[in-house]
Amino acid sequence: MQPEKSVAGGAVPAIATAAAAAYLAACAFPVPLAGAVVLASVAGCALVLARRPSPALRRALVGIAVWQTLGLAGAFALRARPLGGLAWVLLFLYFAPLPVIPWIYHLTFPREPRTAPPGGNGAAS
Amino acid sequence: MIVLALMLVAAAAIAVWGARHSGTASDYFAAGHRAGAWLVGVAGTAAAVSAFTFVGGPGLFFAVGIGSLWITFSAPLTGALQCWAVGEPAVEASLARGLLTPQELIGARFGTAARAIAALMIVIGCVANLAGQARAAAVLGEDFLKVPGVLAAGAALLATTAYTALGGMRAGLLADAAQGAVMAAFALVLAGAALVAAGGPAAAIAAVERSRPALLGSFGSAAPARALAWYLLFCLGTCAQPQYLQKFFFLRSRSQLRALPAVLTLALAVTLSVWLGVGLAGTALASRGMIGLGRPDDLAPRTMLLLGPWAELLAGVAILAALMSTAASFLNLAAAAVTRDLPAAFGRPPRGLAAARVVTVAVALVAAGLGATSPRTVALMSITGWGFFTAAFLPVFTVGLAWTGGSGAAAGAAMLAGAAVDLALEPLRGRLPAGLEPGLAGAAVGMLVLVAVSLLARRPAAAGSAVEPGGAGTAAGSAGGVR
Repeated sequence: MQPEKSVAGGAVPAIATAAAAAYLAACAFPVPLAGAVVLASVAGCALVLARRPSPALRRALVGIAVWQTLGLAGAFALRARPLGGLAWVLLFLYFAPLPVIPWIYHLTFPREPRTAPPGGNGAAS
Repeated sequence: MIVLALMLVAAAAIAVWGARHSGTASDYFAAGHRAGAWLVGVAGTAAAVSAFTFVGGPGLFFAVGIGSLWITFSAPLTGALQCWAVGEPAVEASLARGLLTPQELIGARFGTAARAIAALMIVIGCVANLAGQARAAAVLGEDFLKVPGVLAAGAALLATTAYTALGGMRAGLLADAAQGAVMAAFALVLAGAALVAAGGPAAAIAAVERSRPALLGSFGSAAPARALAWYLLFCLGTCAQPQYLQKFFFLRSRSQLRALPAVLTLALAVTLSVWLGVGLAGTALASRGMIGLGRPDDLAPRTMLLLGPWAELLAGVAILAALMSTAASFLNLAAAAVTRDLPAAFGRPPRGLAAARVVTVAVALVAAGLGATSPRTVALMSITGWGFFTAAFLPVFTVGLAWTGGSGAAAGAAMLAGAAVDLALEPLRGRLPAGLEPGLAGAAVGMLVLVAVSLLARRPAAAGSAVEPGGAGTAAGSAGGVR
């Protein structure tokens, strides 16, 4: 069993190496570590591009990267405010994306081609 | 006591049903590849959520406040991440090649040597985790169900072993899903009741803000780097937990994946409500002097005591459900490793279901023995939990399944290096930088080893192939994969 070869698949080892090295280098420094967290988690999601690249998936992953970056930046900005920081991380980083990210997955999941039934018109889904 | 008796009766019924419906290895190890997204999502969450969520989570909230919630903040992303990174290739390989377990997926991709290493890791991790579960059941039985610890641990392990040994994952999947539904429902009820007792969420937050404002803010009193490391560990770690990944092999079709992240996320978020609800409410109640704590882990039991016997009962049942669902998956994975993967490493055919049943019982007995007789061993071995599996398996299940250049030798080296780094760093945890999680460090080192060894192996392979076409080298891993 071999993974399918794709243009995006060629970047996998480079991105994996970068993410692993970034984590090990930044683990003692909170702000750089936040960057490594975004890189590693979005890179994990982006592995799907090695198998089925699509513009919709790329847009979804850019959206997730932006959301995470804003979420972590806001957390650092509001860290000293008891209620502001609490509200930000709970609402922006946790509750808001709970329904959104699974919905994005649902939208970007490829529909399987259906074979037309004998005598049917072949209309898919 | 009545709860334990009911649990044993239910387990016996599931065991009998499972034994009648588990005639093949596919039934026993992969629930016959017949499950849909709802069953797999709820069961998968049940297998992944441990008693820590109900007791350790609220206790950690009391200790470091919002910082503890960074472990749960991974929940919105993990369902989709899991499916994108591992679920899709796992389901495709499972349906196309009839693979039954995560370690067989490693074997199909990287060859029998890597499969054997994976199987060894799984046996060690599963036995250690089961021993820890048995010990936890004893403690929690005393705290919540008010029965002798040995009785609680024995009943939980006996019930789980009965339906797992007889019915395999045909029975285990149903039991896991039922336990997952119980956990989610009870978690929501307990979180709501605790917050009502604290005067509502706003009153609870106000009480904590007055007494211990450092617990609020974005990171509470946890070091930001530690909170971020927890977040990353539980984000990426979901792609490396065999008890979680095992459930992908149960799906009846690839299209079931479409709804799976939604189910996983919903089940996880509902179950994790107990962490925020009981943690926040209990901390508020403690700040008002309504409950007294000797240590942070007393928070959940003391809060349940305040709510009344019904809450203690619900918490006890939910915790037992969490323990049993996790234990069932570990028992089945260990049985598969011993009866299928390790024989394959020596070129022998897989053993039959009778052997799998015997191994399931044997693993349970060994784990119970370790848990009962050697607290020190259990404490040491329990570190082989989430972090250990993350360190050992994250590189091979993510990069390994997506990159054509990964070799079998590199995969084996990555698993061993990752596990070794995790085990070496875990005892030093208190002296490590706040953001250095042993499991993540192991996974990072494993990732570097996977890439480096694969790339280094290419040159000899290229040179070798000129002399001996079809010889060893990079192709060895992949060629081994299709054997």
